[in-house]
Amino acid sequence: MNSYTVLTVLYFIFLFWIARLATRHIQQLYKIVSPAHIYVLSLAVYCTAWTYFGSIGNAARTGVGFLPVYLGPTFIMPLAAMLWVRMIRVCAQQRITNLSDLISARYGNSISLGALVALCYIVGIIPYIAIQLKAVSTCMVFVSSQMEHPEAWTTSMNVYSTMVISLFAMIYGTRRTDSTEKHTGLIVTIAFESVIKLIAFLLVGIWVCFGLFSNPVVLFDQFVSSVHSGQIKAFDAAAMEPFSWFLAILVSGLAFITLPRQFQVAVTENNDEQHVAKSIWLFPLYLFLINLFVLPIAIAGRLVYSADTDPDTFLLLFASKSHWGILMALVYLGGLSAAIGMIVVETIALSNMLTNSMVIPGWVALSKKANRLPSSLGKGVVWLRRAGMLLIIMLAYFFEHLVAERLTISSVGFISFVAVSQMAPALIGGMLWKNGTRAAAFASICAGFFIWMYTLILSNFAGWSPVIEQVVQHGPWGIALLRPTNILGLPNLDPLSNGIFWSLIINVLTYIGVSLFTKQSAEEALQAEAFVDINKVAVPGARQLERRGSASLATLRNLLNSFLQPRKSDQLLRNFAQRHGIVLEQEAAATDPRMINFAERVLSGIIGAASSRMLISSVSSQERIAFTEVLDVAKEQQQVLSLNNKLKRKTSELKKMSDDLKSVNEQLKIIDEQKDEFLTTVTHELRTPLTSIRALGEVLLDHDDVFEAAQRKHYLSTIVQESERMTRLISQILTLERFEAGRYKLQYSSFELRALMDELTESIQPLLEEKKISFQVFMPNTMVVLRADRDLLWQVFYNLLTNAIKYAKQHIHLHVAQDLQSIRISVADDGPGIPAEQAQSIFDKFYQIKNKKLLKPEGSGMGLAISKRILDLHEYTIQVEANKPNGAIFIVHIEQ
Amino acid sequence: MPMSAPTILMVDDDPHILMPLEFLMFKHGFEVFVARNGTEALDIIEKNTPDIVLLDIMMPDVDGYQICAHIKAQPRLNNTAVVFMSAKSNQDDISKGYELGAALYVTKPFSTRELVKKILDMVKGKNKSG
Repeated sequence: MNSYTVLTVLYFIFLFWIARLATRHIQQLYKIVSPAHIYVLSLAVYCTAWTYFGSIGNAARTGVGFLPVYLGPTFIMPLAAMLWVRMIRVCAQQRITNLSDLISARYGNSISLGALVALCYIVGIIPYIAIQLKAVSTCMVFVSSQMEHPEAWTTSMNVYSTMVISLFAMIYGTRRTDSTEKHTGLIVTIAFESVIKLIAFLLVGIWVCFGLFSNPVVLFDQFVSSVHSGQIKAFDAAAMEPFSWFLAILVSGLAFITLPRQFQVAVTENNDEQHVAKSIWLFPLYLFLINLFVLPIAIAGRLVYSADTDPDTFLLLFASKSHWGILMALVYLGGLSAAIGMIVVETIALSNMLTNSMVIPGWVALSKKANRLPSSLGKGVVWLRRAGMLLIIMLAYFFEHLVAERLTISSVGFISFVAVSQMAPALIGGMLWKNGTRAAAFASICAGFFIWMYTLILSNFAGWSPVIEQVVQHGPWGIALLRPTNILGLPNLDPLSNGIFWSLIINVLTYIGVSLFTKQSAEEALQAEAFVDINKVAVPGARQLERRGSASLATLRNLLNSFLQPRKSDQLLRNFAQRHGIVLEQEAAATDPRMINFAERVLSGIIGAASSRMLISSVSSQERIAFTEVLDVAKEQQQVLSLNNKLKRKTSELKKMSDDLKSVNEQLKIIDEQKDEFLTTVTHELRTPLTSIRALGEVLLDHDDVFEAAQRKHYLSTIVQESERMTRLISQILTLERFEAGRYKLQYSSFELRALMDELTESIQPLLEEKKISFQVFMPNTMVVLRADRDLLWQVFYNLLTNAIKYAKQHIHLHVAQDLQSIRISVADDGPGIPAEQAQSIFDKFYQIKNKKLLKPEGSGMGLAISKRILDLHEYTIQVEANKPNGAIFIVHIEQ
Repeated sequence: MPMSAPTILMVDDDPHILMPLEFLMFKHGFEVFVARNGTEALDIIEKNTPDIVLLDIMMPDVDGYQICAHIKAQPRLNNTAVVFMSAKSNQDDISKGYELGAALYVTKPFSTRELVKKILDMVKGKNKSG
């Protein structure tokens, strides 16, 4: 037993002790360290042996090339935090514990998708675990170099420590059957390890900068001068292509979200969403601190050690050089911590995927096929998981021994990052975009993973067969544009960037493209909504489908007993029933559907959502959610929507009706006003002659003595005239009223127009002579025969002619024109004419009275109105136009 | 005080009403002006200062209200009393007439006897106060 064996054993014992202590006394621990800080430190499981040894190696080779791995998470932290909060909520609601379950659940609890995701993760991450194991052995090889039988010690320690790590993961990663329960002990241990890594790294950095060299400036000066003098080799690739930088940062950021161990610590093990908010700035701070001395140590390593020294070991070399046993021990333990933390968490996460998404669904499907209730597993789920962990660590162990010898920590790390980022479109898209479909997720992961293998893995196997070598060198079928390391021959793209670029771009395009062209199943659509709208759903699970199948309490109890202790399952069922006021009746009777849902959720936490759904379906009489049921929910929403639309329509109809009513009301008001106006006008028109008659009568009566005969006669004749005027007015009002009320019946007869015109000419002759106006009639030579009410037409033309006489100065012309269809009779005068804007209103009743500004000739002012009504009754038309150079023309149009 | 004859201007577009009124006023010792429309009336007012203006309201060119407002706006015609005679018998129309400063508003048809009496009273009252 040498001192490092003792140290290693003691450290392992110490870790077990911390885990055990934290599990039992977590509340006391929270008084010393806040849970938020423990959360942030557990996130630092991101910094693996890759950080611890690999960053320095990377820096020594490429300068700042190590940075993207840390810039990625720093930049993406806000997005990651937002996604984590959503994932935490979704996982709590649906009792999801790992990424394959999450992706499978999002796309409608697809078992095949879950299995694909789990498989890809295992394939992509085992090499990554392998390099952690390699780091552990590097540590041990280093410390053993001073020993008597280094080889033997290293090999045995390596095997032992791998076994102890597996043991640790198996014990503290699967404390209980229900994997939704938090692994407090594990998380506290991880946080502790993060502290050890950081302290060890910082101490070496400080010693190098201020002990070995007097200060960082001296260190850099020496480095710069020795580069110039050619004493040492500078960085291989001092500057990366900007686009390669971008791709490296992008892939690191995506991996930070999609890595199973990050999901495990950030989402599954999260106790409180508030911690996520704190981590947004605290975690980048941790990254900053642990990277602070990477470059100085790398530079110092180049200065102090020969060019053929593996720069991955600089940290160990400096710790040893310090001759401080305690620093050496710390660095050794730090390295172990970095590797162990990663291996343990990653293994737990992968084993959960392996069991939940691959093994248990298979087993449930098999037992379903055999038509028996799966009751044999019981506590076996825990052992299944433990076996999974062992299997994964063993696979990694063998991978390390077979392949990883030739690889640097950093390159394997990146290749793993690219592999896990293939989940990013399906995962991030699924969390934020409702339209992402199962087919799209499946296709994009397959496509991305295929390109990952083709571009980044295939070339490693070039030596295995000439066919592969041929493809790698010259492209498949000799097509150079398809060469795995440089597809399409894009310039300035190193093989890694080429792999990142093509796998991600094709992955994203596939995801979006397939999503746009495929349809979601009903279950998928519901899940998509539950995931994307997780922040909107007020009551968790409110939108979930009610399972209407029936299962007895005894059946559910039996099912739960397969995975939980009977006491525990009984307690869970009773508590749930009590909380929701469900009365538990006889064991054999069909129980409340909510109980079935609850049992499904409990099982989800143990064996994953997809398997749980399948199991519950097999015991409840109702099959999986029927499509019609989903349709019902959708229809219900549709109905609410259409009801809403109907209401909207009704409202608009009502509005239209009320608008119509309003406009009718307006019209009635106008008619009412017209009626009032008519009455006022009529009474006014009657008052005027009545006033004269009364005044004249009174004067004659009172002053009979003073009047001469002639004067008296004048007075009396005026009284008679005014009486006649009143009579005429009354009879015209009555006529108009008769026409308007439609009570007048036309007396049709056929007659010759010329005869009518002759009669008219004769009757207006005295008026014409009185006003000295000439009157000419122009008639066609042929006979014009009309069929109409002759007396009324006589009235119309009499009105038009007397009207013309009132305004004319010298001439009035009457034209009659006839063609095949119509007769046109016009009366033209040379008076003042009628303004165009009054051409319509001139036919209104009392038009003259309302327009006092016109010179007021004799008459009631109703002649035109009456004429128009008469013509209307005959369905003839009348209009007025301007005569040239002055005057008005009234035109009567008679359709035959 | 030297009693010169009181003057009256009568405005209406209906000649048949003016004829008996002219006779009556002349008989009662008024110097009588007659106008057949608003424009004529304004011309007469411009050149004379009648004691009474007897006004129809609805006339083709300038309506009676406008003429009244015109009279009331001139300090020179402070002592001129306006009497409306109109077929408009709405309360609104009557109020409008008084608001414009009319001394009297009679609706057609009216009694010439009462109208003459009221006009004579007005002239007497004016002479007393004047």
